[in-house]
Amino acid sequence: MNPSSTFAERATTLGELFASHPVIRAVNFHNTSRAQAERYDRQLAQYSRSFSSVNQEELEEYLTTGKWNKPKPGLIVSVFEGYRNSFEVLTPLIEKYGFIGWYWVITGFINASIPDQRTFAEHHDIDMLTHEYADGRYALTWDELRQLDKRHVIACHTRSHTLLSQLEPEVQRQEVVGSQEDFRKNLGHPVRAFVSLTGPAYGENSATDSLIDAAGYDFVFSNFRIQRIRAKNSNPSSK
Amino acid sequence: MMNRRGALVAMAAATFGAVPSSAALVRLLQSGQAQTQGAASGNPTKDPVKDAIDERLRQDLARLAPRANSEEGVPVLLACEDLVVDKPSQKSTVTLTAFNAALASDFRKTSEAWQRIHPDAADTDVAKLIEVLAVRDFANGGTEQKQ
Repeated sequence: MNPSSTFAERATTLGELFASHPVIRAVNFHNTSRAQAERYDRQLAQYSRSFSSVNQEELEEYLTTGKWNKPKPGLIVSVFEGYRNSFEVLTPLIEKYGFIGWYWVITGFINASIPDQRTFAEHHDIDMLTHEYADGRYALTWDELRQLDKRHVIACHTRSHTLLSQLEPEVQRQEVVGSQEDFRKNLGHPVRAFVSLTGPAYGENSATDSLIDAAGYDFVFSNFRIQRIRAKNSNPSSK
Repeated sequence: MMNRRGALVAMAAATFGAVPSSAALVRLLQSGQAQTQGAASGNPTKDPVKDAIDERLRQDLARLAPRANSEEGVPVLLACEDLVVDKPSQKSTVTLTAFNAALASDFRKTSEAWQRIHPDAADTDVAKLIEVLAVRDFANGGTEQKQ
C-alpha cells in the first residue's frame, strides 16, 4: 500500500466518523506559562463569545442523544499533564470566561517529589520549554487538584505518560488501574474519563480495554473521538 | 521496531498528551511548496474551485507552522461515540445535525486538496488536516459548521 492511499483510506474513515456521529469541539492546552497569559486570555475571550462550557453530565447527554441543550455549542477546555501553571495561570482565565476545565492528570508527575519533577517531566515526554518556577515545583499538588475538583473535571492521563501498548501487562495495569487508585486515594473518588499518551481509542487494544474496564472509567478520549463505554449508574463506584 | 520517540512523532500529530509538533507542519509546507504546481505557483489545475481550496489550505498550513503548540491552545474536533448503545443489536437514536454534513463536506474537499498538495502524505497527516479544519471553525466562531 503506498502512503497516498493510506492517507486516503484514513481520511475516508475519519470523514465517515465525523459524518455519522455528533461532533464536539475541544481545545488542548499543555504548558501554560505565565509569559503567554495574555494570549490565553484573548483566546478564551474569543471562544467565550461563541462557545459554552461542558461538564461531564452534559457530555454524557450529548454522547447519548446527540442533542446539545445550550444556546452556544459546547467547548471542552482540556488541560494536560498536571502542570502547576495550569492552576496558577490558566484556571483563573477558564473561570473568568465561564468554562469548565478538563484536567488530564499524570499522577506520577503529581506524586514526584519537588526536586524530581523536572527530571520526571524530561523522562516522560512532559514538555518543559519554560522553566518559570525557581522553587522547582512544576506539578500540581493534590491540594490544588482537590480545589479544582470542586468546579472542574479531573481526569486520568495515566501514571507515567508512556505508550501503553509497549508495556508489560503488570506495568500497564499500574498505568491504567493504578492511576485510578491514585485518584481514589487523593480525591476520595474515582475519575470518569481516561486518555493515554498519543490517544489510542477504546477497541484498539484488547488488553488495554480490559484494564480500562477494570478501572471503571466511563469515557475514553482519543485523537479523534470521545467514547462512552459504560453508563454512569452501571459503575457503582463512580463519583 | 520503531523506537519510542519515533512512535511518538509518527502517531502524535494533534494528539492528547503528546504535544503536536509544528515542525511537522513546516515539513508539510515545504513539501507542498516543492511538489505542487498549483494556483499559487502560477500553474493552476484548470479547476478554479480546486485551486482556491488548495490555496486556502496552503495558507492555513503556513499560518499554523510557526506555532509552539506546547504552549498554545490547540483546537480539535472530536466525534462522539456511544459504545453503550452503538451495538449491532441496538439502534442508535443519536441526533445528527447540519454540523455533521458541513464538516463531512469540508473534510472531503480538504483531504482531496491535501493529497493534491502532498501526494506522498502519510496517514498520520490526517491529524493535521483535522487541526486545520478545527482552526477554521474556531476562527469563525463555530459558524462554519454549526452544531
